[in-house]
Amino acid sequence: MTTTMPVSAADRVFADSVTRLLDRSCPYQRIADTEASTDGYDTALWSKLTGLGWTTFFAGETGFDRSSLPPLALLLSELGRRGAALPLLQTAMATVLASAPGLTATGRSLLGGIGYGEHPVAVVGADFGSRIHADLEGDGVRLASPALPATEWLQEARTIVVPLHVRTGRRAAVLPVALPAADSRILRITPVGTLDNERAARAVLTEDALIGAAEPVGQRRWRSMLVLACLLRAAELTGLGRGMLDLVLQHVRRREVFGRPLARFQAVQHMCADAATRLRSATLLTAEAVELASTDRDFERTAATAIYTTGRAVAGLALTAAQLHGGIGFTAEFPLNVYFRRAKAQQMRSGSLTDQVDEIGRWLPAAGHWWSLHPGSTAPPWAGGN
Amino acid sequence: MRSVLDDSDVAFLRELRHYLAGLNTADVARETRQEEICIGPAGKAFMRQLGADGWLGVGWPERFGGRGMSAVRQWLFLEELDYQRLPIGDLSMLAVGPAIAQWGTDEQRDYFLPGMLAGEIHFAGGYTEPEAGSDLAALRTRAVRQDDGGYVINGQKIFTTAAHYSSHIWLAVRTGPQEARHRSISILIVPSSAPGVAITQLMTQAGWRTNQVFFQDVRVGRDALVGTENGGWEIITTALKLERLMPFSRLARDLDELAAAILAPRPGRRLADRRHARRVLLDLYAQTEELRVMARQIAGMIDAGDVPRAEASMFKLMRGRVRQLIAVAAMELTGPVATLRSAPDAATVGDAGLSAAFDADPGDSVAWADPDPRLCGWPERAYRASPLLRFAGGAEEIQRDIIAEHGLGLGRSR
Repeated sequence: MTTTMPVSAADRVFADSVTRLLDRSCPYQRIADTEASTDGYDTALWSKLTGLGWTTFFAGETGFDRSSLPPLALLLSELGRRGAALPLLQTAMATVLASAPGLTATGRSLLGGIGYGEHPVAVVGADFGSRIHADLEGDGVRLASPALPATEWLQEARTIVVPLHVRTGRRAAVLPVALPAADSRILRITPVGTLDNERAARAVLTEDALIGAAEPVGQRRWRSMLVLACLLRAAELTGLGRGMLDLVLQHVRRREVFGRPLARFQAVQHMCADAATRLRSATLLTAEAVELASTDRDFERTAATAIYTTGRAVAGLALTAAQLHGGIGFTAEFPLNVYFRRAKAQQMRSGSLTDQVDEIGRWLPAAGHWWSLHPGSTAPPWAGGN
Repeated sequence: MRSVLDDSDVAFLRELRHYLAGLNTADVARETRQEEICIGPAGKAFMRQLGADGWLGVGWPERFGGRGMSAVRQWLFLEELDYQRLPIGDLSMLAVGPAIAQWGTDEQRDYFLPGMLAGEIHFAGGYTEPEAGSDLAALRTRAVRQDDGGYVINGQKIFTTAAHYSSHIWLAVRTGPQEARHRSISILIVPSSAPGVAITQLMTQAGWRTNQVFFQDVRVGRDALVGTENGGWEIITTALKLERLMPFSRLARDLDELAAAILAPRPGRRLADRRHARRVLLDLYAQTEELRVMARQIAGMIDAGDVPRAEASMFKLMRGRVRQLIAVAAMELTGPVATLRSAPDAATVGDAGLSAAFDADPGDSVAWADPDPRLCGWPERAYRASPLLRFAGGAEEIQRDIIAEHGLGLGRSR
């Protein structure tokens, strides 16, 4: 039954290598230790992935390579399945959001840097609700407020991508800029705890700095990039859901109450069935959005729907998983708690549920003619042809 | 597995739309909107037209007069008809025809299949009994074999939809000991007009007619048996498999039209209300998208030679719930006017004359304060109809059992 990312024949070999490597190097039993470690992520695993080129293959010199989406989604999903926190998702999302035609010189060198293995890279405000406002001033921009939203792996990043919302004349636009994160003359970075096993930090611009600017990106194009970036997070979440479902199935088969396994109680079976159903449809939607985007078709409405649906399915599954595990799931020793926290945290990182559902609406007509048998077409098929 | 349709399937969809656009389908669409579980006169004429033009039985093997199409195209065919609110064919076309093609004798194939394609033979499904619904293997209608090889049937069926206009009943009967459950069930084809068959009307809260059918010493010949005696369970489950390709587009269309009506600007409706409504509707849109990818995957699995079992149950489970959620949202977002029927003097539920109330065009009433005719009568009708898919064809509890047992490997809980 497909509750994992479907794999095409072309990606089969890659998928097998990912599973083999992660089974060996990233068992879920280790995630609690990793969370408590100094770095907060498995640096040995990160080096292995980097050595294999798996942290760079999606970055080209001109931007994010969309044809690499299916293997990237697969890799993220398999990491998600093991509850692993790594700066890979941030690096990939930053790559997507820095892939603008009017990128600054810093941005271009950033993309090249990712391609050559210089990372991690982080991005702030990569959700459907955040707006970092700035004003154009001469050749540069000035931020409305020096404080940037907190984001994951900021402290570990060499570079951070900051999408600035500016006005050019009467039009709103977005200017993604790249800042050297390690330069304390520009940024002051303070770590902050999170709900899950991601390490986050806040950044404040140290001076009333003017940032060199280039050509901004139009709103619609920006939203499209943002949807694509958040789709990567949804891909990870599908794996997280699968990992949680595996834990649940293992537990209900093993745990006996009143003389029989939990798995044999209809009430328990029905909770599992409902959760697996939502996970499957969400995974299929995410996979379809990945397929659409990687083949240069309209993907935004499907992707926005997949992001909302996957977040809800996986966060819902977390509640079911905790309920079915009872006390043992509540302990800090048992790995479920990492999944429980991570499911909600990763869901919320794409924006409030209001912002997520509004994002779907952004890619649909104002009222009616919402639905199409044939997603990826530029118009609903019944609008023409007949 | 790919999800996006390939160009040739899109071309097929276009060809089908072009064909349907050339027919005058307004009457049949109106009829189907009023009466969902039976096919009315306009619907029958439409089915005959499809048959004459070679569009019926798209999934049947070519040697039996079908088109032998892939599951993906059969699915697209069903979805397009469903979207246009046209009848998708009844049990005859979707399940009985293919079952006869697979299990029937040459005589049965030669007689029934051409008759069905010509729209002259209609089957009603005779599975459910008062004491055997989702637990079908508990059925009690008994057929006793006679010396000449024929059978005498006694018993009762319920929810035998379409029996009153059918030519035949596809009947599941007990031909061995009751305790043998699914191992002593056979399938017989019984003419609906056979002496001893009594069909009585059973009205539903949706205003649709279904039936009870009583069998008293009904005699059929040996040629009525499909497959082998006591081998009926395999035929039933095969036929159920064919029903796994079920469309949902009508729900999406309902949602589309509901959204257009609810979100249209009008005096007195506050912006905050519209924002709230839009979010409720977008959430439902996301759920219809979940249905779409699930249906598409089921078709793809069938084409790849897999048997979608838990997957089909997941789809069925969600479809029933989404349909009800759309109906409930239609009520809740519309408010008091949603309680009004499309004909102001409509009869009460349970009245035999209820169907007459639905003859009125939902758009022809001016008795509402609400200026949008799309919201007049539709929400309350959709609400009354909304439980149907949550129990028909196997209650959602059974679907969850199947998902847990066959999809998640949790074993039997019953």
